[in-house]
Amino acid sequence: MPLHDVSYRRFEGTRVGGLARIWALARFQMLSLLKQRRFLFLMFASWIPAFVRGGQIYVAKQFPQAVPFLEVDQSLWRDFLSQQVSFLLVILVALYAGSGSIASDLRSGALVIYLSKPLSRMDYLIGKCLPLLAAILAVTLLPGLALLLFHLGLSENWSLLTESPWLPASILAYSLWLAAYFCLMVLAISSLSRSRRLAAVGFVLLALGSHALYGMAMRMSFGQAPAYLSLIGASVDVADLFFGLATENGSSWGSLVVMTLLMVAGVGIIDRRLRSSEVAT
Amino acid sequence: MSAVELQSVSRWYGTVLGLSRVDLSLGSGVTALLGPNGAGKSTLIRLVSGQLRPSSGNVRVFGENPFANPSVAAHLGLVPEEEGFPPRVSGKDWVCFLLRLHGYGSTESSQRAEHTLEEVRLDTVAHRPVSTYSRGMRQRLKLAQAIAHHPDLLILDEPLAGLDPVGRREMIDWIKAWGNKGHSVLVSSHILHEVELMTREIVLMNQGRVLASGNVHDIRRLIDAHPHRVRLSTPTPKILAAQLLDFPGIRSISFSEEREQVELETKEPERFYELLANLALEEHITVHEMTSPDDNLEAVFKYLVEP
Amino acid sequence: MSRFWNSRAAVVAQWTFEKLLWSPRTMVMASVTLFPVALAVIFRIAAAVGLQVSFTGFGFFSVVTATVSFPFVAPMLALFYSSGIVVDEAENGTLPYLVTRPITRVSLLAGKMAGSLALQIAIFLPSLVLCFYVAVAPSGFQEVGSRFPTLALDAGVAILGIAAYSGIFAFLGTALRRPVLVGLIFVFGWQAAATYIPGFVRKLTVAHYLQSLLPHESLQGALSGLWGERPSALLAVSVLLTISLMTHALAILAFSRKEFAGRVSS
Repeated sequence: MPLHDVSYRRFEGTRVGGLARIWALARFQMLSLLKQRRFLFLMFASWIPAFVRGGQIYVAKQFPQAVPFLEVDQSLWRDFLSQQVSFLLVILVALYAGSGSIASDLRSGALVIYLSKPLSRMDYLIGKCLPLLAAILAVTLLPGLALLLFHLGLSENWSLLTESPWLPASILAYSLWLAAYFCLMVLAISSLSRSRRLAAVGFVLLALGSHALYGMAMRMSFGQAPAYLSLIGASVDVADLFFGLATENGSSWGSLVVMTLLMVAGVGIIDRRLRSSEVAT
Repeated sequence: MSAVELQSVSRWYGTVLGLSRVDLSLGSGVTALLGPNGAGKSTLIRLVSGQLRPSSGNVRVFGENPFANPSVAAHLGLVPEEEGFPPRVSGKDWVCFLLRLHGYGSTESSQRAEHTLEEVRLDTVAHRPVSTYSRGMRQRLKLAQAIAHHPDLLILDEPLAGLDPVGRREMIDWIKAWGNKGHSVLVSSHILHEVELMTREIVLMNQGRVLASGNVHDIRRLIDAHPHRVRLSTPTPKILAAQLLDFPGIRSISFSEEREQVELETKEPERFYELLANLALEEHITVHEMTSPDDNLEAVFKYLVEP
Repeated sequence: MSRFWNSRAAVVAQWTFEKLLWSPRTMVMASVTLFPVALAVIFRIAAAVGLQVSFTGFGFFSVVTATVSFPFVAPMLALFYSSGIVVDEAENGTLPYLVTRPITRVSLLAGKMAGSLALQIAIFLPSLVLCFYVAVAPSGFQEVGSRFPTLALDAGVAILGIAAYSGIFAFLGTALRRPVLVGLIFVFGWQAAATYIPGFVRKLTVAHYLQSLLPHESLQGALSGLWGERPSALLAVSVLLTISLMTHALAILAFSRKEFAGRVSS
């Protein structure tokens, strides 16, 4: 009777592909976020404007003659989503979920461990982006779609969709654009620091400082300053493009270009920081 | 008065028990704190150094409560386990600053810092930023800041971690010397054979409790559940083994003619040694060497800690 | 006096000030405080090339002070430095060294807060003065001279404001694990929302009292619209001093009771 061989044997099964590895990283981060009550409270608080808008839709449906100024059209969704940014809700969510994302890994040395696994830098970046994208979409896309469904549910006919057939796509596209933009901005800043706190403050400085600069420039130029001077201003300015609404000047396209360049720069910064961590220090 | 006294001290972290009704008294000399990870060693050290308060019981260092107590801290030196230094600071600046917190003037702090850094062989790199130091250098810097003010109680949490063999040897010698000067030293470590080189006085902990404290040999003697193993080297192992079979208290005997060895287990080691001496004389049996493979710290650790 | 300067709190204050002063993060913050100066430079260039500008030099300085320096730069400085007084030491792993020294927790934190506050003021005031000179100096020395008392008052208000914000964020930094988020919500959420809520609510902000102390007459109409009627200068100064002292005291109280379990358990 042969003795059972208990010595070391190589694994001969099938290893899972790259997507599963990315998902493992993303899931780990998402679960740790969802365990934090403060994060859940912040997410809930970020839905308050949606409830207010829902009330607006309800009142507009119930009392259309009494409140003719509460007309519900695609500009409501444009205003709602852009106000999620201008009211700083998206910024706070991005800050909470993302400011320590890469900074903590740099500080603890976990980044080197991640990159020593069969995980490429891009896999790592995508794994870090996914929870942040999900968090931002949860306060932009989800309430936006919920409002749309609410409106359609209260409507006798779906005139809004026949008049604006691209509305759902606009909500999706604009939400994804905002999510990608703020995700890359906050991760880029997180990669520049080993401290979550400093990364958070750095992101706030960039977002609100540029906005203050834009405000001052508006005063100095009698309201002619381009919105893309401000991180927040640019993201609000491009809303008109996504919702097919007429823009007053060409600044929306300028904002789109600037946002694109910033996102590319953000990816470049993150990649550079991840590369530098592979060198023994 | 003992340097450190703990009376029924317990400490919880939420629902996790860090320490459970610990009674302990430490005097002068070197005392080693041993135990596996999660035993409660660092918790005990933080309680003694005044970083934590006990959930129940009393901690006294030099007769006073050490928590946030400057008068206790003046006589205390701590080498923490964690590595932490402010960024862009030189070794000398760091030691100087900490000395100034002890009330020394800037000139005296500078002189003391230089002297201490020379003592720990960091004088040549004293002006370099700590971020450029090797692991061993940082460990020595941690020691320097702890001893620069000549504390009466020195607490070292894993001081040998990250040191190369030469560095470990130096640290051990240094700790022994500090203890020999009459100071109290409490050192926590995992490296058993090196702790044995430092001291025979141990406090053995596991799962938040003190399992044993005192001299290693005294503790070993008390561990009845594990008979003592004795190994004898003799040219006539078979004859010796046959003679020993009649001895009371012998639990088991094995011998090897090739290795010229007899190994036995006994619950009464002292009586056995006496009888062996008489046997060797009466029966003219030669015994070249006698050792006790488990009369050491590792055996004590294993018998008390492992299930 | 010598006894004070040799005291351990003073040692901590000096150490904190020196180490922060030459740190890369201070270089970043210093460039942020230069925002208003950059705006003043742009204003001057615009005026020099003949573009239509709606302000005089001093008018521009007033607007920048009221809309950028005080509502944004000052609280950001305080948030950046004061919220990290304890957190930074904990993250660097240097807290065990400090709390096991023969220095009371009160002195330790008081020293750190004093050093941090001194640095914030040392960064902010030059920016304010530089902005003033860039904006106003081209209008002539007489204009500079006549407006100088306003600058001096602005500097005094700045010190009061930074001290108040610094105390609030020092307390948040000591009491909370994530002080930045709460600080942001206070400054840019609560204080911004309070402008829309009539009545007593506005009095529960630092900005209400700061804005009321700003000696820029040209702005008071606009500011009153935002912040309601101005309280008297005496009341505003008293409230700001009280906020500063109370929040710093609360921070010290919170720190005195804090335990430090460290990062590694064994």
